[in-house]
Amino acid sequence: MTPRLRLAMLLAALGMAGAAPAGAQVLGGLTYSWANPAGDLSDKFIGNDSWLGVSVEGRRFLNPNVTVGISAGYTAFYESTTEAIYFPGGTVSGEQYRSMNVFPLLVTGHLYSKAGGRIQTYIGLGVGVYYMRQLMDVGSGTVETTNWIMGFAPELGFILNKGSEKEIAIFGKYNYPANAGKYIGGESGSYQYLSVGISLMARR
Amino acid sequence: MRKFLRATGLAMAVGAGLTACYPERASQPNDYASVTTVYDTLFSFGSAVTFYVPDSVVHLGGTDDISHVYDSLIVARTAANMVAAGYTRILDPLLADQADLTLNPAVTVSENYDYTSGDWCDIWGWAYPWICTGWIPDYPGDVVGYTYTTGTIFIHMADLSSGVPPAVSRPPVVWTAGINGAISGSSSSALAQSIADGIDQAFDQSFYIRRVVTP
Repeated sequence: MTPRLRLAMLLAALGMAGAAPAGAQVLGGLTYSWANPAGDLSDKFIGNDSWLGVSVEGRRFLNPNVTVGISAGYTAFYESTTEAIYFPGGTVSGEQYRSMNVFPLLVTGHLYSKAGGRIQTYIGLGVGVYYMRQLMDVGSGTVETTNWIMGFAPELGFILNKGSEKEIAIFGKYNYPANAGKYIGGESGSYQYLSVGISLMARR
Repeated sequence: MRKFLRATGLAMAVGAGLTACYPERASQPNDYASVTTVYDTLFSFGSAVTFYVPDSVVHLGGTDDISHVYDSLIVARTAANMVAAGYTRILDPLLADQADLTLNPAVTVSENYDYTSGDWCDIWGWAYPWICTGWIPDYPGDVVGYTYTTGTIFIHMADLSSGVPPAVSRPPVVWTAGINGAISGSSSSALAQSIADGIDQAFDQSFYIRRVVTP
């Protein structure tokens, strides 16, 4: 386990063990999301959007309008292409299969608008690590890289209050792994993506 | 919290399972025909004027069951692309050592040919047999870090003006093309077209090779 990952897990643990008042509510849920590649991900590797994104999230209320929590997810981008890929010192063209599997593990914080209405708006920010697994089949072989990258994810969402303990949230989140790592071709990059999803959440 | 941890575990397990199947991935990776080119970023292609291509194609590894009928096409197409890029061809083998660049086409004849182990003697031994007698550097590891199937065409371009291994420690290869899947079972006309297209593509995607010719 790398120092960065250990730091992220420590931060996550601290986030969940925050000084919440006794009896504080917890919001947890499962999310499905669509994602659109951006930054170096779309410029250099995959242009296809992803319909394969899931995550699980837990938030603890510090007060009625503030939560801290953690989020763990998975998003897969993939495409078959004949588009040439350029890297320092070379080029590959022809038929290729490319994929990027992203596992974000983030400590999150959210601010909520005043409760009571049917729709509650919130903004959030996640900070943590992204495990990026990049793969390319070309010719008779496979080239693969893995990277742990620090990053952050600003978020905007709406919670539809159904008047019960179960809620639905719709959100947009921009995932911004830092410009770092060593991807196929030996270059660093910032493989970003915008995800839009729906969460089924339960409040306890 | 316990439920959350259970959900987290479930989500991660689902994620791990999803990564294992890789949607739309070919069942056989060699379904992907491709052209890979790499070059020495420190070499100035504009400084070279002449080139030489031998009239034979080296067949690398294993039992040679690939016809030599396409050798002349491979040589001719390679030379034509070099001329189109602004270089002057030296045809006389006796003057080969005067060429600024030497190109050697080769074809793999064994399944899963490991290029990175290098075959200096096979590829260059025809012209420089003494290079097989001493220490020989590997090809650069980042050239093509995987294996090739039968029928892959390699074209190696070398600047031999500074000497050859073991006299020089740096491999003199300044450009390499790997045209995967170019020679595999199909009709002869389709094969010829596939070979020609693959060689053309190798030069097309290597724009840095083109000489700037002053009118």
